[in-house]
Amino acid sequence: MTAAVARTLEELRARLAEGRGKACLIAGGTDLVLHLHEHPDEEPDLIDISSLEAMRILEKHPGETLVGAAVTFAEIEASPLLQEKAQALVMAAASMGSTQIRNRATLGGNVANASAAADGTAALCALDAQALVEDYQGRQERLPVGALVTAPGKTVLGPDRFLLAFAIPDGTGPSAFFKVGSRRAVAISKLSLALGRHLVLGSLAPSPVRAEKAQALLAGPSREAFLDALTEAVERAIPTRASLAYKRVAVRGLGDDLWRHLKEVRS
Amino acid sequence: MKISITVNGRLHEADVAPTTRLVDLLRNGLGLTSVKEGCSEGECGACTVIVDGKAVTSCTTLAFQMDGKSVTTLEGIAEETLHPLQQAFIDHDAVQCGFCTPGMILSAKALLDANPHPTRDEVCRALEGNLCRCTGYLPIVEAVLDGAERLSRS
Ligand SMILES: Cc1cc2nc3c(=O)[nH]c(=O)nc-3n(C[C@H](O)[C@H](O)[C@H](O)COP(=O)(O)OP(=O)(O)OC[C@H]3O[C@@H](n4cnc5c(N)ncnc54)[C@H](O)[C@@H]3O)c2cc1C
Ligand code: FES
Ligand code: FES
Repeated sequence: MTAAVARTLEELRARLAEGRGKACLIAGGTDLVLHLHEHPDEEPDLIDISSLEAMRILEKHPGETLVGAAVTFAEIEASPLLQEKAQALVMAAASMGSTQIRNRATLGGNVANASAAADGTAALCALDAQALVEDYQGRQERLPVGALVTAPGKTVLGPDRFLLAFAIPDGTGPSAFFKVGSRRAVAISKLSLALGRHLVLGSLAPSPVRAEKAQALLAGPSREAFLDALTEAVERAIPTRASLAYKRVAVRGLGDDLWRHLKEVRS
Repeated sequence: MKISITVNGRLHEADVAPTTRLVDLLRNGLGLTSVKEGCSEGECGACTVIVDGKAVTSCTTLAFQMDGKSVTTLEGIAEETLHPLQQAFIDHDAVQCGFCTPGMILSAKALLDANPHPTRDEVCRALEGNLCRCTGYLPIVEAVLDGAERLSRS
């Protein structure tokens, strides 16, 4: 069991090459520290990346906005660039945990932790964002955020790859994020609705679920038809779970919030 | 791992195990027992400290991650007299059992350092991550708003 701080990508790559397979990144620690405290038998080689410069970027590039994996939710919430380009992500950040958690929790940690209830992941999926993934030899690739999570707590990353940043494309249209159930203790009653290029439901399945039919009806005249399509999407995603009865009602509340929000921004 | 950490203005060199949390270092290593451990899950805010100006829960942070950083606990905010926020908490009966108080005051201080004249809503939001089982929160919010006034006068 060791601990080290990586401040540059070169340092991180060197550490990962050395520690092949045993290395474990830590950013804000708001998921991982709780896990380690509950599992004192685990002895990971920890690499702190919370101040790694290349993961701390927040930049406009041609056609897209880049958000580093180690940018915190407090920074996302306060960013004028993201307020303009990625309102859904800003609203998700504002809804996260508490001030203390937002000050530490990072976007990369949120996605990599692969919880079904990850609010950042839902917002990124709605915005059609791609993850910039890199391996310990510096090979980079882009993957849709929706393709990263394979099962609860599992991603395609493995021990040799890490999240460097997220690319949010321009022109995703009006975007927004609404959720119910913010306390971790009531994770089962969590549900979120995020709109960007896609309309997605979070907390229903390991990865956010698209609600295409509801999205098409969002531009139409009937609020009821839109809400019915949302209920249908929930029923399709979790046909048998105990939380279904609650979630099929809760989603209508979120749908209502979104419907009204869009009316306001359009008028 | 060896780290240098400034706590309440004093530089400390500490040798910490990889999984030692900041709350463990502060309480057990440095004897700063104002830092309370309630839930150990980031939910209650009793373990709140200020790191480089920002309120964070020390039970969700590892000590080695604090290398080179500056940490403030309640022990570090009073000078010869109590800090105006501490006095305001007393005057508004915002302390009952007192378990939540250090975390509450540090969350409030981090807010006022960044935003000296917060609205009531801003105070409530800054204290969202601090639970109190005794007071019902109202006296705490009053104390913070009054503390802001006292600080701007002093
Ligand atoms: C009180 C409380 C409230 C919370 N509320 C919410 C909420 O409302 N919504 C929500 O979505 N979440 C919530 N969370 C969960 C948590 O705060 C988030 O998931 C957070 O974004 C995790 O980020 P982190 O930087 O703290 O990750 P860490 O705990 O540091 O890491 C989490 C995982 O990600 C991996 N990792 C970190 N960075 C990278 C990277 N760059 N590349 C690859 N892997 C990486 C780590 O190895 C680890 O496995 C809450 C947590 C607490 C304690
Ligand atoms: S003990 Fe850290 S938040 Fe409760
Ligand atoms: S005074 Fe007892 S918990 Fe707040």
